[in-house]
Amino acid sequence: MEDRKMNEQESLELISQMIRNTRRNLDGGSGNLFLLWGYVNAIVTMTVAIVLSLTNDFVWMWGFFAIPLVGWLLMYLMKRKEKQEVRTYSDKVIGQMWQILGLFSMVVVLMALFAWQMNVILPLAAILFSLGSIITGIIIRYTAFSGFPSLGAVAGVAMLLNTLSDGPMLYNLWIYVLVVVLSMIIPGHILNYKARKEN
Amino acid sequence: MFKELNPLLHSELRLAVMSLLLSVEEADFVYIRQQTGATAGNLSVQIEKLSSAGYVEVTKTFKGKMPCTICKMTPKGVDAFEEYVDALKSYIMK
Repeated sequence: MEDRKMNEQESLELISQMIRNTRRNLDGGSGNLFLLWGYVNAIVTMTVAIVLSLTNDFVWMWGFFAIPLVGWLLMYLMKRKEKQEVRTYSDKVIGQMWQILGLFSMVVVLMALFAWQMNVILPLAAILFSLGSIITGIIIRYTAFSGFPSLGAVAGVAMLLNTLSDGPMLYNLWIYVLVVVLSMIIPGHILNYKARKEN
Repeated sequence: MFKELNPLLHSELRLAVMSLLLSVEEADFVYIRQQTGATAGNLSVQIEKLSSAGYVEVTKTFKGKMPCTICKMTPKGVDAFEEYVDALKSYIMK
């Protein structure tokens, strides 16, 4: 392509062609962030649940702070290698939505710590990231993607009800793992499979 | 009555760059070069012209150790593009 003048018809055709070029498929590895956070959450939660059931010592619940530490470190390393050449409006909206959810989750954690009500952190986190996954599915216009997180959100509400009625903590931990699988791991694999098929 | 076509946009490569940037939030120089098939030198010159006119915002950054140039259309660029398309319509509908 050169710096030449065109007639009006050529101009219109060029505009249409360029707009068509930007209509892209999903990038390969689109679901990797879901998988990263999903597996970090699942592994840490299962470890805490197993140790807790063996020792009956609730001090192990502090192990949950490994989730943001390990998650952010791995995400930083992953983003450093990533080569995203173009960012669409959908990418921007999805990114900002997850940033807001992340910040809000931190507020929830801090408020729960301040009020010494740590047992509400997991149910609220489960509901928040399930909603994030549902909204992501809506934005990328992939309804199959939102189905599993919808079940995850319902399970999150069940966790909250269990907490409010002073139900067993271990029950909540295993339900949390189920929510992570429904709202992050399965959607992550679905997204990567779809991206592989499209490219 | 024909409207005047903006001479800055009525050029193949600059129009292609603006059309690409209209559809995305922002794009890397390499991506624009791949989509337009232009040479790096020519593309740099044309993006510089669009940037000087305030139509495109250029951010030079690094991705790891690799330099990376990100281009984004400004609101002024969007307005200019809309006016250009309106002017085109007046020619097509004659």
